[in-house]
Amino acid sequence: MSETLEGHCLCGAVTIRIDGEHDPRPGACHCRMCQRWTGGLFLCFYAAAETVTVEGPVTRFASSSFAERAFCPKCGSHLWMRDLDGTTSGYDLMPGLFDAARDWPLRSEIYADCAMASVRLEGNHHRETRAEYQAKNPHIEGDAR
Amino acid sequence: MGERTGQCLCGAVTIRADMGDTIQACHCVQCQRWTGGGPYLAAKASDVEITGGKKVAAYHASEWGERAVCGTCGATIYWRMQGREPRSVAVGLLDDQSGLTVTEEIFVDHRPAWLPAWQGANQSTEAQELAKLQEFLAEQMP
Repeated sequence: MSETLEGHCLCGAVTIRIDGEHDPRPGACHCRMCQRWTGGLFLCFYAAAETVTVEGPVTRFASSSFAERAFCPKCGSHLWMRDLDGTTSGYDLMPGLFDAARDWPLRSEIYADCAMASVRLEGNHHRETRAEYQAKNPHIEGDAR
Repeated sequence: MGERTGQCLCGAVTIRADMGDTIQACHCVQCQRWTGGGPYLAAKASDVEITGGKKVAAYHASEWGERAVCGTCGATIYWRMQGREPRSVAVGLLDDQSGLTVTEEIFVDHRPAWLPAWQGANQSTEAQELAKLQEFLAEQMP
């Protein structure tokens, strides 16, 4: 999808604009790191780096050797996850920041076999287990369990 | 009730609490923005002990609520009434999440289309929750 979208963190200190190509379907990740970070259910959607403009204060935390997780230092809103290879990587953005994303369909679940028993997502979307995802992404040396 | 432990993503904040087996899912827009999209999943708890409390960053999004994350990694820790002990913690922090069930969903009119309702859980709307909140606040400030 190619349109301009604007999102905000809870306190409004951070504004994220997407002007161009992005995938209007959130994907869920159930790995332990994502559970610990969000507090439960991690969701993100992809936007190419050149389409994303960020204004406001951002705290970045390198949660592994290859990826960072960003949040607003004022209100704690979760903003994105992104590979650490400089400026070329796209953003896995948090859909909760964008009003338009509330009506988007779910794209996929990864680490589907690690989902909390209390969080089961229904539907015929794509699902991958921990083993399947890590086989496709050999740079992942192991998530926190 | 039983003791459960947990920690944030970077390990700077750890929690230990006496916990039952119930979770409240909140679908309000504030919780969606704060967690990034999903409902805030609050595991009911009492006697919550927090280590690394200096790392906890709190934000007051309303006159009554306080939202806390780890200031280092951003992990969601809890929502509580300002000035009161936390009565729940984010379920994602817990080392052992077994046996926990969502028994209550609030602000269900903001639940996203792709997320099914939790069967058997009590459901309440934004209007119902705000009415309860006003009643609670009126009792606190006669």
